[in-house]
Amino acid sequence: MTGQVTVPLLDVRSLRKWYDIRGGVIPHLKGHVQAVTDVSFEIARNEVLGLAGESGSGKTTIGRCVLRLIEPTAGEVKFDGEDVLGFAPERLRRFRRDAQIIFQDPFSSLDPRMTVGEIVAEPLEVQKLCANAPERRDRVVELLDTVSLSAEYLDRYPRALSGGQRQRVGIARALAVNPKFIVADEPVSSLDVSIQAQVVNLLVDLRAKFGLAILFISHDIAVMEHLSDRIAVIYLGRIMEVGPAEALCRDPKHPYTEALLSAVPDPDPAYRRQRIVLDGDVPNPVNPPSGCVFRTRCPRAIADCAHMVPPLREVASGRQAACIRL
Amino acid sequence: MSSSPIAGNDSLVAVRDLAVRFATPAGPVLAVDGVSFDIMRGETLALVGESGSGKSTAALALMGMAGLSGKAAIEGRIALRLKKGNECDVNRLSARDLRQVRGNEIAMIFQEPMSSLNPVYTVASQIVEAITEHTKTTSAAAHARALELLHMMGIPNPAKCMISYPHQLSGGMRQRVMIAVALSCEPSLLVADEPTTALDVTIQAQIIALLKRVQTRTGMAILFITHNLGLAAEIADRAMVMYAGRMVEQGAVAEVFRNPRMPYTQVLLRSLPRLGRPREPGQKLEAIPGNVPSALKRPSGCAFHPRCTFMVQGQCDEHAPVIESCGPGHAVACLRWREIAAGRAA
Amino acid sequence: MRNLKSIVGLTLVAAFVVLAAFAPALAPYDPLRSSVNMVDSPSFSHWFGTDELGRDILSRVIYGARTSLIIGFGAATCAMLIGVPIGMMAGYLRGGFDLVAVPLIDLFIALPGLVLALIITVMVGPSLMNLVLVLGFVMWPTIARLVRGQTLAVRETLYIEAARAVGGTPGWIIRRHVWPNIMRVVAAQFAISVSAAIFTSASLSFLGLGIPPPTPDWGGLVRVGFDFLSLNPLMSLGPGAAVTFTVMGFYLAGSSVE
Repeated sequence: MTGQVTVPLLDVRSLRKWYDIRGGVIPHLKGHVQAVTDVSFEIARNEVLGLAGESGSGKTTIGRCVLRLIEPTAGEVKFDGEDVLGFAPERLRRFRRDAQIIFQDPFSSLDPRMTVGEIVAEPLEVQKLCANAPERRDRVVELLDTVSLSAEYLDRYPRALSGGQRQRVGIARALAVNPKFIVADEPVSSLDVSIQAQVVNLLVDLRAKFGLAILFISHDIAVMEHLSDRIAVIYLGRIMEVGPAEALCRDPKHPYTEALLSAVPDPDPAYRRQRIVLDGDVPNPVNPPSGCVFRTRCPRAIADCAHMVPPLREVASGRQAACIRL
Repeated sequence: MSSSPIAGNDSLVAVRDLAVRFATPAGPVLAVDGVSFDIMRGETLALVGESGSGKSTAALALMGMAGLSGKAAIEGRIALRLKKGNECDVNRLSARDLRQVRGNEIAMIFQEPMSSLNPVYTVASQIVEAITEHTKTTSAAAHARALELLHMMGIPNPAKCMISYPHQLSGGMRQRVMIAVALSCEPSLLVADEPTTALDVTIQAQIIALLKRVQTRTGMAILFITHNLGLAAEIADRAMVMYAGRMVEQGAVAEVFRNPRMPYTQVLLRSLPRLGRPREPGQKLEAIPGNVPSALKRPSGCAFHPRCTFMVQGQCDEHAPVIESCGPGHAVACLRWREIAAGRAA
Repeated sequence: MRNLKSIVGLTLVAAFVVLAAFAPALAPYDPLRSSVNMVDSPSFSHWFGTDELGRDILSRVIYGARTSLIIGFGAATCAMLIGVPIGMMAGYLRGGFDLVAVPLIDLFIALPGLVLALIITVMVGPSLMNLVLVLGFVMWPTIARLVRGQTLAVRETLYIEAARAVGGTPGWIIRRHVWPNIMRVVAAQFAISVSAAIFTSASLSFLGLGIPPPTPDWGGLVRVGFDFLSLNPLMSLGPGAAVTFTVMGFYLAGSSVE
């Protein structure tokens, strides 16, 4: 029984998502888009793990895979010790009460033909969480209040709302089922600068209030450092580095993390970092480099980097990185 | 008004009282409301604002392009010093003269290069076309120049890039090609409208480094439009902050971002999480309440007053602030900036 | 432009529906009652003249609107009942169902509708009921293809993924998200189908495979009037114009939506 305390809420082992590429006159398998390769991480109860990466890094795919919105090719996803990938349809539906998602784009993630009230009520209806319509309505009003929207928004359509308000509706929908875990997929990236802080603060509040665990996916490391306990940096579908948010941002170990952090512009002209400008583009995930996938852009690459895939290993206390040169 | 605003100084562009009005089905929209600014030769001016602030419209007006997509009434004066030394008012040019100004004197790059590159032509033919349209060059010479430009853009294999179609290139490469097209006629001003917003930070860093390198080499001025304050601070010499169609603060980057005078600029800077700064656990960001006002329903008085903590009823909601100087080269549009700066405002 | 289209279209549709609904009040004579004035030219008592049995042509054209209304709406409804579920299932579920449905739809679309309708009508025999069913059967693939395409587009949206993320079943998602979002386009296609059904049924009638006499029916009226074109052109042109305006009305109303 003592072991149960240490079971993480979400435990992902060697997750892999490769998309088949078929083509030719007679369609046959021509290769794979290696979106996610052998990714492992854990999220504890009430912990926020940031997943940092650029476009095409596979961070969104990971978020969808752990919720089984897309089916992984291989690997293991355990939620509360249970095997999510083995869930039958009914059990999967029940799993959705515990694990939810907030989307990046608050414009296309809300059905334009439904009112705000209907959108937030949908999870309650689908999961049959309220006995009757009045009870459901009360709950929806309560949820809107949680995200600081008044009941007057109930009958409005998404098009009448600003980006920030829409994102609040999306958050209320995710909270409706009282989840333990939320995948937040770039929740502030498409918002205006003056609105981002509102939504970031809301997420901070909600996490404290409901004891939420969050997988926070973003390309904006500054927001991520503010919100996350730990950060995992991902490049071309593989984890490069994992560590406590502040330590990782202050003292990055992996050369990619270093370059990524140095590229973030800061509005204070006196606070200018030594910039590391990486050469070239992110390689094609259909044909990633051998060995370390970052080696083609890495300022510290040596010949050996091409020979083996570096394992994610402890490089300092509580810090893990996948680089043979550390 | 009668004498030229750029006579006798080093301005490349002088915009005075620019206003752009659109007729939309939902009513008239004053996208840009009385904006004035100068761009010096060889400098980078950042135009900072959120969606609907009018920053892109102001830039398009500079190109004589604000009226292209619909009925726009453009007022004010946009004086541009031409390469030959004489000057013109962009707002009063004929369509034919405008075409000469665009490309030759002012060139523009956009957020999404795909939309301004023609998908059915190779990179080579698009750059060659841009060159031969504005200058008397043989096609062979233009071709050589195109190759040289791509090389200058830091494209690894320029010859291969020349024969590629836009869709075969990555986002970063496309942006480089678009910059090459823009620079083909050596404009004295490059208008860059969120050129790195669609790109990843590591690619953004490449493009910014490239723009700086090109600027040092050619001495062109850049008008850099962005919503990203960090980026503005990084690339620009001076910054101009816009809110709801008006200029609210302008000055040297070091001044605007270290000693902002307008409450909007102040709180916007404080609302940004900064990388690598110590923070308390659970500490919150300072958020600006409310929403970005719609262009159809601008607040009265100072457009920022409904969201401003220093708002005084009967003043800020009634009187639009005039632009005042608050330091060397530093201007602000706020009724209470003196009190706020002195720490006397509550 | 689109506005003008919908105004003209809806006016024509409204006129047609009024004509059909209030035929007994609007028609000056009983459309089936014959008289001794056979093949009369237009006059004040018979605006369009009379036919070979002395029946008032205007009254027959007005009553013909009822037949066209039944055929048009009936056939379009049939086509929808088959096409919409197949299209939505193929588009949303994909997989095996889609693999079977798509070639089937393509096959039917490749066959010319009029010829197919002609062959089936010859086999089952002409009657109002059969005509409705045959036309419905000929038209469903067009609707299925449209609905499938629309469903595919909606299926990829984030709000569908959001619905899946809260545990929505395919049935729930189709009912609550897919259908409301494609309804407008389906409604437009319904109007276009009505126009196509009226047009095809008139063609069939003209070829002698329409509604059996004595029921007044535009296609049949045009055909009979054809023989008397030199004596009274309105005998053919009157019902012909009715077909044209009605088909045009439904078509304009439908195509103005997208």
